[in-house]
Amino acid sequence: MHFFRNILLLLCLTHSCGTAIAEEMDFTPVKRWIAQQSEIRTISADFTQTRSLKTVRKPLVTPGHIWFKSPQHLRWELGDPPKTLVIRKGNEILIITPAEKKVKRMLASEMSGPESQIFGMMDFTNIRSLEEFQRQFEILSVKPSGDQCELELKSKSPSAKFLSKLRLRFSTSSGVVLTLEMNFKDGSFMRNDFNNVRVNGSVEEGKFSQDLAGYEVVNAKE
Amino acid sequence: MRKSRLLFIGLSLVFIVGGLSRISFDIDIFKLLPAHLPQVKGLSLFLKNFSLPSELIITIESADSEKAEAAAKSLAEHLKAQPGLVKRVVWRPPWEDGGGALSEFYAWMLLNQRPEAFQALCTRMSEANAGTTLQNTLERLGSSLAGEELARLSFDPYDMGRELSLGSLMGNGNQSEFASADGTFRAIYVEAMPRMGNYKDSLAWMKEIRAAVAAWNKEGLKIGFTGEPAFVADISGSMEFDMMSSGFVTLFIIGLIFWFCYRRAAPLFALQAMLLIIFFYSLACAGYVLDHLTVVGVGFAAIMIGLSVDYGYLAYQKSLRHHGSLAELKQDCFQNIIWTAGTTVVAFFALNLSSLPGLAQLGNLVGIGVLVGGFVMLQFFVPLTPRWKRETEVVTGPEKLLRSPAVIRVGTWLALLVTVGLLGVLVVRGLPGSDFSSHPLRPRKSEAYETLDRLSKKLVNQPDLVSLVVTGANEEEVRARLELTGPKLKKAKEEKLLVSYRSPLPLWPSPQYQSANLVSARPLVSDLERLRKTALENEFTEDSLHLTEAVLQHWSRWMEEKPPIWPKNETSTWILRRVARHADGKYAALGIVEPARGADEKALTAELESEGVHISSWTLLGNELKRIVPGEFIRVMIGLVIIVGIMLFCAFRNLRDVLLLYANMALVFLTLAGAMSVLGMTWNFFNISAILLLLGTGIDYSILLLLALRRNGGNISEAQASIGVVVSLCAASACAGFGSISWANHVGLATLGQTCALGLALDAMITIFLLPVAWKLLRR
Repeated sequence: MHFFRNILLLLCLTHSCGTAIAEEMDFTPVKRWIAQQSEIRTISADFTQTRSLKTVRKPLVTPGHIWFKSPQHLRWELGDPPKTLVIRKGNEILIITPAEKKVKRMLASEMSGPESQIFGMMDFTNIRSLEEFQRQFEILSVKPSGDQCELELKSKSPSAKFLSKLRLRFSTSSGVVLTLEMNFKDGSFMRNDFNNVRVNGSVEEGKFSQDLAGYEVVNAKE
Repeated sequence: MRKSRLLFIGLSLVFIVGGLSRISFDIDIFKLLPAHLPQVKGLSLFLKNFSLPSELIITIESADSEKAEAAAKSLAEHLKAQPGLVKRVVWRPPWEDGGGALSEFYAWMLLNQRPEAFQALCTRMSEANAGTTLQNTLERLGSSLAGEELARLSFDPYDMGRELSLGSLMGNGNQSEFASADGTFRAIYVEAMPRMGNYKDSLAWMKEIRAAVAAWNKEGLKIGFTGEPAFVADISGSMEFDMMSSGFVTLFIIGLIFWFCYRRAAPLFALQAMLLIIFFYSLACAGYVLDHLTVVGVGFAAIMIGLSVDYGYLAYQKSLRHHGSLAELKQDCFQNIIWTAGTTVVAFFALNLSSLPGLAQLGNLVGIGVLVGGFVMLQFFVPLTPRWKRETEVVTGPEKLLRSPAVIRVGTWLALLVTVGLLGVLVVRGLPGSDFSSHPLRPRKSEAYETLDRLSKKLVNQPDLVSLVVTGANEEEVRARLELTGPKLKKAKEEKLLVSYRSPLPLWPSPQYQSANLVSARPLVSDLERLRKTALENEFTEDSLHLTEAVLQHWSRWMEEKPPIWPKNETSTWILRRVARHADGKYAALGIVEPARGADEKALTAELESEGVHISSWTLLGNELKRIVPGEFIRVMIGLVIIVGIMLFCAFRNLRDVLLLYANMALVFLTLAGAMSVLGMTWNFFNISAILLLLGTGIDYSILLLLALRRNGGNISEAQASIGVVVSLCAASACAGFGSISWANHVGLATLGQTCALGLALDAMITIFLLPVAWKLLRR
């Protein structure tokens, strides 16, 4: 559950996010997936992020790695070597740009503005049911296919006004998120495809800290 | 004789009409505050330079954010369609309307950079480096998590704005000056088409706007109005009503009191006519002497009528018992009026010693009114009184009561009981609390204020922000001061005096930098085709180059101009309207500082303030007033006590009587404090002056009573019966005058009215029943 939340948080940090026909849909895979999230303790995975922008002809593809430990530990590396690094430990979130030796620090509980909206929108810690999930997202479609299922979502948060929809693909057997795609109203999109996903393996505690000597630290509120 | 009378009436009418036509209202709160205080200076500068007299803010609230957004758009379109009503309506950031509206501002910000930064920009775009710059941009577009950077680089592939900070400009993400974070609260900025010359223009325009909005609002959405025109219409309207209603209510109550006491129509009408003459004469005088009436000044009418009528009562009461000539009656009245009016006028003029200009204005107005009142009553009312005299001596109802020993006995015990009771309360509950915040400066009810509070809560939600206003004689001076302030802000942050700040430096031009940067930009301007080609070769689309092309075009245009250059399009002027002022010889920049919680204000002020650099906020102002006003008040009080003491000594030539008068006033103040404590009233910047006013007006009652006691050889009953009636009438009228402003819209003025009315009632009670007893005891 936390893993899913943190992935969404990371994706949404870059953009502010945005009713459709509610036909009879079978939410059984979604309910099962929500239940599976609470069983995930750790995750490590590789991913490929694809950004398609209106002003750039070809999609920008960047590899990355992710480590997660329940309930609130996360390391997200984008680029190889990492161009952007996000570390979350408890309430503190650090966004690190190694090339510029800069760190942006924010507290999840004190976040205001778009981050707080996004975080609020994506914070599933207390979601225990499909109803709670639906309070944050409108489920536009549920498409099971083999051992995978794809959800098409629309955020109900006012912060998500630039987002047209979200596409979430997960493994129905393990509950692991395989793809998360955000589509923006201007036609651009950002997709994360996860692979080499290892669930409930051991993750070093050191992954969730970083030596920031020589870095310029800026608090988000300043 | 008849000709000269007609001439006098004619001239008086011309004088009154001329004076009244000059009356105008000033809702500026700073006109009520000590102008020499740094905080008042800072806040005044802020308002003078950054308040927008023609800008109305309309707020819309809806439970649904999409509905709120649609409503804002629809209302904006509806208002634009009204002929001759609005010049501009902005319901979302102007740059969201597209069309490259922001490019001029972007180009201008780039031009304001230090020449080194601008040179680096030129280097990034040079033939040798353009390709690398574009590749770096692609890499950052693929890896950055900063929304602001991604949005910018998508349209600025050459990374021209690397050194610029656009975050604050674009608003805090979803939350901006147009919408709350959840989108359910929207603000629309409406610029008036007609010129707002005076408050009547604002009232008329606001009426039309309200009608237009009401016609549009068929869904019954929650709408609010704030901004300068709303404030002016709101407050001026209530000021006009307060002044006229309190004045006429007082006149009416005085009429009732007189009728209850004497039941004579002719003197009543004559008295009312005199009061109207006094009122209009005084108001006309105010029109000639003062530029504007402040919210506090409007209270003068009721107070002045309530005080001036005293002389009429005195004259009428004396005329009923007078058996000599008119000249003797005039002489008798003159002796009484000169001392009572003298102390009153001195007390009100002493308000000039207060550092609160609003109170000084009130003091001057009432002082003038009381002088006019004394003169009119002596010259015009007293000569009329003999014609109302009856053959048989008539004893009025209140006089009968005060001649009854039983009533006097009960009254004395009751007065003693109330006095001791209130003193007991004072001992047990202590002095009344104090509220030296800015609350008493505000109107009790104002939609504009309420909407502004809601707007601040929804769109800013940082109540402790402090304004940083930097002024100068020209662009260079402001720029120099801003550059000097930068390191100080940084130091204050390091010293934990402030949490964050936003300096207007990036938005203030340096003519020197602009000149140097335009020279550096010349090769780029002529190299547009090369820049375009390189970008397309590096995977960027045509769309990505619109901003770059527009920036180069603006620079090219500005090469023909002489710095300082200011951007001129609608979007640019919109952004700069609350940040930079550079017209009519006024140059000012506005920044924001967020002080650390519990930070030493004095240290922060000392760190940042210098010539032309002011930091100010309502909180800082309240604290400054709290430090300064009580001390000043004590000084004024001491001065007034001495002046009144000298006057009393001249009148009585007896130290014991003078001390008795002071003891009487001290008892009044103590019981007043007890009563305020019981009623939960607090002291503030305005009602603290009630002490001065009570000393000046309340002491009149004891003067009249002591003069009566001395005149009739210490006959307490006679003094209580004859002067007790006058004192009761005077106190009732003054209470009506002060009481009628207790409902004034201005909180400070209302509390002043309540405190004075309460104090005068206590004063009359103590003076009539307890003072004669004390006087007799001292004589034994």
